[in-house]
Amino acid sequence: MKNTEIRCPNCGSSFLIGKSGNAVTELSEGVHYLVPETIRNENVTNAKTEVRMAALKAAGVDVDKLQTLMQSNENLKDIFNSDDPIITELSKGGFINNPELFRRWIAAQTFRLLKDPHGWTHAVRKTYDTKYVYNQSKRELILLCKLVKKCPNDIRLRFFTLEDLQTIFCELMDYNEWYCYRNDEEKKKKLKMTIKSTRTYINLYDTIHSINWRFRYDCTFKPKTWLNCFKGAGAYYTLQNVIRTHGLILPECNNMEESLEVVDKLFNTITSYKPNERRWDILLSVLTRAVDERNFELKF
Amino acid sequence: MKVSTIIKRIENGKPYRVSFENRTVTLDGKVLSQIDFELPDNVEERLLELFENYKYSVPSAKADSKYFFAFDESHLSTKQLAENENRYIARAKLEIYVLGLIINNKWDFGDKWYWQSNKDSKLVLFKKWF
Repeated sequence: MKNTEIRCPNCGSSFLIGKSGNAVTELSEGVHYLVPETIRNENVTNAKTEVRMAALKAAGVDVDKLQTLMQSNENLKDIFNSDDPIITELSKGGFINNPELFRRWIAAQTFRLLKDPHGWTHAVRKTYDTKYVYNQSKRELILLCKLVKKCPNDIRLRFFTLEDLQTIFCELMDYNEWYCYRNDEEKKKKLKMTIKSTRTYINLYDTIHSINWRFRYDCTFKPKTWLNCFKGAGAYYTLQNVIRTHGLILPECNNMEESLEVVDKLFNTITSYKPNERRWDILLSVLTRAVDERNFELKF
Repeated sequence: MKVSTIIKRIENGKPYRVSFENRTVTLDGKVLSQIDFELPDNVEERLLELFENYKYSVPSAKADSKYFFAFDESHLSTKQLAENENRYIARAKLEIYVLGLIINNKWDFGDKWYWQSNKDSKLVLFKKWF
């Protein structure tokens, strides 16, 4: 700040701001606020932005347009060419859709569950109940019905497969307390047969929608296959997000590329087995080992 | 039938079972009658290779072999987990090779009822199999 001396008009006492007093100012009566220079000035340049602009200039980017963007309220299209597909997307919705990076909220969920001292499965058993299992698997079914039509090669289809979902709903049938099925074991057997005889996702959804489901309020049963698939999906999407954006590198690798290759190879070896015989907890153990070795913390 | 064709069919997804007591291999529910074993000259080296491959393989929910030892997934590093083979296929290669040794009676025990290798103490062969 500049060196100034501030004087009170009534009593005449003054105090200095800065190193030595060169200029003297008189203030009128009332409340005055000390405002730093950076907020008052319009053409301010922070140290961070200066460094970034210098780096962009060295790389060969036009820096004058960016300065006008930061300081004024002009439209994107007036500054840049409107033929760019990125800018058309930005002007429409305000963000760009990345198909490789989604379901980022799963990273937060897994790290919240990993804080438990007894482990991930113990935390899942404590926090969720069978109603959550039923709702989550039903939501997944509805999504997969649509995904099969749009892109049948998607990776999301490999975690909760048809056979997995059939076994999950068959195991949940034992804890179904709808008054018609409650003490009728033959009827439950027939319904299980209808569930297992379906061949597509849409057929499965129709059969499950026709059956009535009701669970006790304190029921905490979780099928084994559901835990397995939930673990796999959670570990895979957290690994993808954490490696690409938060900067985690796996223990024996040096780059982002090498660690992504490791994840892909592991995924391929695990999915080479049939859905009954897959062990997704190997993926989660890779995550926990990496987090322990690198002392990683999830920050947003 | 050759050993390589058997292993190709297992990699495509067919189940198998090997028993040293009955000296048979069942592929997809059928017992195989004739198998062409191609045994190399240096028998011990190949055994060690296959055993190391099986010991460090990536496990699954299927059962491990009741004849040989294998590590848990906690003993493997991340790169080993990514690059090594399936345990089901590695087990097939090991057990079919040892079956070949049993049928052709190519092992020397001497007076002992077991044989343990010097390089790998977990590799043990028993005389009652032969």
